[in-house]
Amino acid sequence: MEVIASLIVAILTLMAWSMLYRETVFYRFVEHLIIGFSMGYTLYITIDTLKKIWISPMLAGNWILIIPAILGFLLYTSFSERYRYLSRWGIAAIAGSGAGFAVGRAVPVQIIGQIKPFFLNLREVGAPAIINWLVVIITTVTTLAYFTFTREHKGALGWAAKIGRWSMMAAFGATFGATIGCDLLYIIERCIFLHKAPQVYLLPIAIIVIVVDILRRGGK
Amino acid sequence: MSWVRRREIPLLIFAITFIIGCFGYYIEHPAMGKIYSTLFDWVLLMSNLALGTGLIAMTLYHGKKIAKREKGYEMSFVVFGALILMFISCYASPASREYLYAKIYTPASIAILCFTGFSEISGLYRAFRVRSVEAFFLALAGFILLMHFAPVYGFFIPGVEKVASWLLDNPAMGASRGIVIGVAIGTIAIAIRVLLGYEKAYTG
Amino acid sequence: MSEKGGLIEVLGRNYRQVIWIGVLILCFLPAFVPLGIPISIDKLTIKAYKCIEELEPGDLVLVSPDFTPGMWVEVGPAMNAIMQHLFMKKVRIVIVSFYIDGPVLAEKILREIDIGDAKYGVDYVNLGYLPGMETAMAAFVENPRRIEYDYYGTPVEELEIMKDVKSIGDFKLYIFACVTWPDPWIRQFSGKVPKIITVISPAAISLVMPYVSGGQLYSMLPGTKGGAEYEALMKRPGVATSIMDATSLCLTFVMLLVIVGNISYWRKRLRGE
Repeated sequence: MEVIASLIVAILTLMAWSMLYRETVFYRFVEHLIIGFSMGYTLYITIDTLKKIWISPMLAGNWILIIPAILGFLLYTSFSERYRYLSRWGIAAIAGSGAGFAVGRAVPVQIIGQIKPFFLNLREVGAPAIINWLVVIITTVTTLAYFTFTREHKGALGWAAKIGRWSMMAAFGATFGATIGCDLLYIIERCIFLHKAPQVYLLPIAIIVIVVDILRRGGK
Repeated sequence: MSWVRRREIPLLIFAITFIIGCFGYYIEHPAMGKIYSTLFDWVLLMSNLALGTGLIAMTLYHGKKIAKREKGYEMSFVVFGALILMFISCYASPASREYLYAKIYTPASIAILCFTGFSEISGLYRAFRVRSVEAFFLALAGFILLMHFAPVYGFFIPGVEKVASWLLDNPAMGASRGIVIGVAIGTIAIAIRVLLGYEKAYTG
Repeated sequence: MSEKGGLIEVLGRNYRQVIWIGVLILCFLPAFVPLGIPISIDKLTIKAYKCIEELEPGDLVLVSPDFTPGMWVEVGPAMNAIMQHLFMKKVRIVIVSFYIDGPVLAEKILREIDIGDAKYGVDYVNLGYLPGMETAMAAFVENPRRIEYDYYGTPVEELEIMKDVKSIGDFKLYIFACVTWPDPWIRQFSGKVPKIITVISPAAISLVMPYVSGGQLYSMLPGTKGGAEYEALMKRPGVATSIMDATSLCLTFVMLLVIVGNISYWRKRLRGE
């Protein structure tokens, strides 16, 4: 069964990668297959979770859950032009609670929690730590200055915003470098998989198919 | 029944759930605790039902494609076939679920996502041009991180790891801290705007 | 001369395919001929390793594999390494997912590692998926016993491991894998569990550093490189280690492409073309 799974996955990988050569029906098949699998699993987990958090508790006596269930089913009215406005009730409840939980914890964790590290006993640390501390403060304050749009970026604010932009470029550059690194991982992982037996024997077949297609199309 | 169409109803629902969610954590009172806990049960259920909207949207899209015999409608059969196959295997047994999901679906998803890497690399060669000071800083930070993630540079050039660590721990971290604080303030601002009725995305 | 010019012209027109073939060759090469480049270990990975080493048998650890199957290669190998370490330390593991694919990916991790003689329901449990993202996290933090059934439909009361889970403070450590902004996890769990370690996609590293510096996160493992470092610390090389050789070659190729592209651009610009 493992061998069959490996061969199936290798064939699906090579079918997906046929896109590197040109747009093919093989690539579209794999793309739609993935979409279908994702939908199938979502359907399963939705029904399974519904049984656990709605059906079972309700049958055990928690009948008030019928109210959120109605609000939840009203979400599906978004597909109807006539009754779409009813879906806003459910959306408002989900968005309101999500916003409430986020805002409630944003202040202690993201604002106060991020300002606290600025308070440092400078007498207890060495010169390198003080320099690093200054760099962090300057980059943080100038980044916040960049996002201050209530005043025009002129004079001192202009310079602060400019330094903020450069600091953000350093952060985004780090993200950019890391993103390239991690996007390559997908290709590397698939290549490591394809180099193992029995799927490695499919590689020459794939190359021959491409060469035959190139020759058949007259090298276009 | 025109009252059901009023914007104020979803706005009121948003406000009530927001206040409970925001302040329920801080108010230590049995009644508030009960309301807070009930809100969780209700919203978890609604969130689970919300998952179905995506499924229905995709089903309608592919169903219409098949019904109208639009270009590429054959692939919509593949979607429905895969949906049924995964759904049945999830219920058949944990072994069949694991076989299809972990051994076939997961690697195939990775194969599709390889295109982000391929497109990015060819796009970098074509489009990444250092034309300004900001682009220079971006490229410099990017290169340092690329060397950080490639073990060979850490091995042959001893200072690379230190420079990359310093970059991540200081200027990049400082800017990210500014962004985190800004995002938190922005989250609060957006919530207040929705409460005051300026943002119509959730309330219509 | 004209043949050479013709070849260069063809290569220039099909530069994408040339680059892609180059990348594929560099990815396949170390798979057939391993280079074995040593990996230097970051201080944050060492910190995470020591944190798990200091756990006592029987300590409760909460784990959330919150990523999608397509992102497996970014955080999966590191999660495998960490989970392997947790099982070796004989701690008790409670798995709860706030992403829809989490429960099945947790099953995948458990099948790929050696769990020894750990028993389901006693030493580890998979509580399944809790919908609602940040709301679900807040709900779980408020009351972990809110989940009445595990992923397989067994009532939680019947599971021995859950008898000692009365509040979120019973967990000594929370480990979550994340491929996006980590803010919701940190907002809800920070200050509730003594230590939080994240396995983060490399693309989100700079977003996580403020929390590591601010103390809300104890440590982080940056994706596959973090996984390779962790495997090196555990002296159990795995998938992450095997990926690192090709990473070195491919990233060098990418840097050369950017440099060559910019040299070519600036040459044309300075010539006035």
